[in-house]
Amino acid sequence: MTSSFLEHGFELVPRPVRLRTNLFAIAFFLMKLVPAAFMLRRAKEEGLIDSQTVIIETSSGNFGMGLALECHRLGMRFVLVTDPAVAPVWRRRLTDLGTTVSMVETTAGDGNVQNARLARLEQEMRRHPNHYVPGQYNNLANRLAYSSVAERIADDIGHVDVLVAATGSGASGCGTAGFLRVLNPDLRFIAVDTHNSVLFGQPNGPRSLRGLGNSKHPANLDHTAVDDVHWVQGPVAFQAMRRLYREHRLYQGPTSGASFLVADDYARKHPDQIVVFLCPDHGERYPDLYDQEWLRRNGLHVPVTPADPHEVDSPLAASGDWDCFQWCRRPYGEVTGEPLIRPEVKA
Amino acid sequence: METTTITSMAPVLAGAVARSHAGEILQGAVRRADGIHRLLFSLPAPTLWTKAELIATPGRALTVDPPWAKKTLSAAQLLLRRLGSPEPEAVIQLTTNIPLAKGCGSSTTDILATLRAILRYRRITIAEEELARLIVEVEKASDGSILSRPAIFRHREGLVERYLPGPLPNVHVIVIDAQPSEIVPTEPMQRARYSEEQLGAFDVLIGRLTRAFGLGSPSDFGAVATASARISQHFLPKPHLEEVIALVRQEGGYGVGVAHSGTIVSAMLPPQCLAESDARVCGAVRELGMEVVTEFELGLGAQQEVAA
Repeated sequence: MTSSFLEHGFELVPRPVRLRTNLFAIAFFLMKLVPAAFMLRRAKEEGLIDSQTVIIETSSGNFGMGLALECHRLGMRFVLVTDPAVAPVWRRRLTDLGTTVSMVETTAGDGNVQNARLARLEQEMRRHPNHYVPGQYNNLANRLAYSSVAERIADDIGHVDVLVAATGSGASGCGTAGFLRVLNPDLRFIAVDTHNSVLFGQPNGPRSLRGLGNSKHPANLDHTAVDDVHWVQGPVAFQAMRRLYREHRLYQGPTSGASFLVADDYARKHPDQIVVFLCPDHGERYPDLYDQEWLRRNGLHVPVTPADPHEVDSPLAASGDWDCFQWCRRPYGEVTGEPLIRPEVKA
Repeated sequence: METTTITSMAPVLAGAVARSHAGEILQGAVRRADGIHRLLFSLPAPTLWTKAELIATPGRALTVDPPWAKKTLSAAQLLLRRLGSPEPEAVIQLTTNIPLAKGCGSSTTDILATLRAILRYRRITIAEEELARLIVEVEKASDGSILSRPAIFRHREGLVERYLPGPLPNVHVIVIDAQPSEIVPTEPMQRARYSEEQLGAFDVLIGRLTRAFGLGSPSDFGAVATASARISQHFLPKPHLEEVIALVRQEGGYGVGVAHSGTIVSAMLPPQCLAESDARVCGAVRELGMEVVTEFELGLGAQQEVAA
């Protein structure tokens, strides 16, 4: 264990919850606090930041909140570059912690907003010469942070056959799976993505499920660590999220729902295997997604969830509500025939 | 011959026994807020021991027998200085069955037995953690054999990293010398340089080892040993390690530990394992050119005391 609740006033240690004999959830209020705290600690140890350094990051999600909490604790200035998808309540939570929210104007619903955010990030970096950008997508420390999560799993659950994790930067899944494989090299890592995310060879496009998937290739995703990929559409994930609450009392966010869908299915089909899935955040942030009427009005409601994933023979063939593909720990190029263009991992 | 007669008739001022270990279940390092700390958990070996006796030699300065055990003598002198005691006119007589330079901590065990004998002679007790730090001063390293409770031990600092929440899991151990003709001196050995990933891996192994003690679970215990042994292969490889792991698995065993500064490999089988099972593992490792050093049972209900 690297840090305590006492020190951070917020959990760094997840709650492992047994749902069935062979199915475990690793439930976080805010998983991204783990890498945020770890990355700032390492940067400090390596002399990359001092007390005057301005931390700058682009995020519309939980990593921004994780950094906001940690910067507040450390008494450091934090500039968060984000987009209008961030709800006003969430924004207030950030500014109350002293975070400077630097909002880009674009309202594009697809991946283009990411380019606008990167341009703004450059601006903020010029404005604050003494800055440090943790860079969750390409900073190796993000992956390394998950040794503490794997430690918790090793202590509370012991032997693990399968890890299911939603994939955005790749850090939580590849990190946790990698560390658990020290004890079980045969551990199966199932990555959960969503359609129109480029991570596993789908074309970039609009996505209704946020908090996983990506429009760019992050260096923290090690494709050769991945055994299977599942693509889950938003509406299916939202129903699974609600089912996780109704059946197991776990009130978590939509990426937890998507991972539960996949893990629950795998655990039922393999009763002799211990299946663990990560639940990256709490459900409080998503009142609309729990509201069936709101989902219907916005065309995000599916009356019936598919009973099984549809297995496809290539990532491009994934076009249903819930598809899966045997990735078999291969490099990206070998599976897709396309070169993998992305930054180098920052060690 | 004459010396033997004299000492055997001379009064024994005090004596003590220390038990050794058969390599490590876990050895590595972790990153903490104040830096990187090396740590280990050794596999206690109740059948491997050193007996130290302080035998009066009136008119002669403190010496040690065998005379090459100079560090033992230094440790004894250091402890006496700390206690403010004059050196007794005596010889420290060491008797041991621990194989030398194999990674079983023979040197540390000799010192520990000696320090205990001196404390007994002086009728003083000091905290075991303090004793551990004293050994580190002389040896540059120590191991957790000193401690009366299982603990992950910072062996370069002589400090406890974490006490483990329970007694040793119950296992049958076959201690094997994987390279009988090799000698691995502890001191000149290059220290392992762990990668960032390996540092993180040790967090996970500590988690699993904590579980093993909390539940008294030999399978968790064995899984940690095997994982740590595999990491050790990058630094001090043991021949045929994967074959030994497979052998142990075939017999329903739990895992394999190694000495991180030696040639010892320890196979962990179920407690009171079948004689045939034990014989198959012993036979197979001998065919690989290895030697069986000793065997014992560990944990709850196991016979811990061995005549010494």
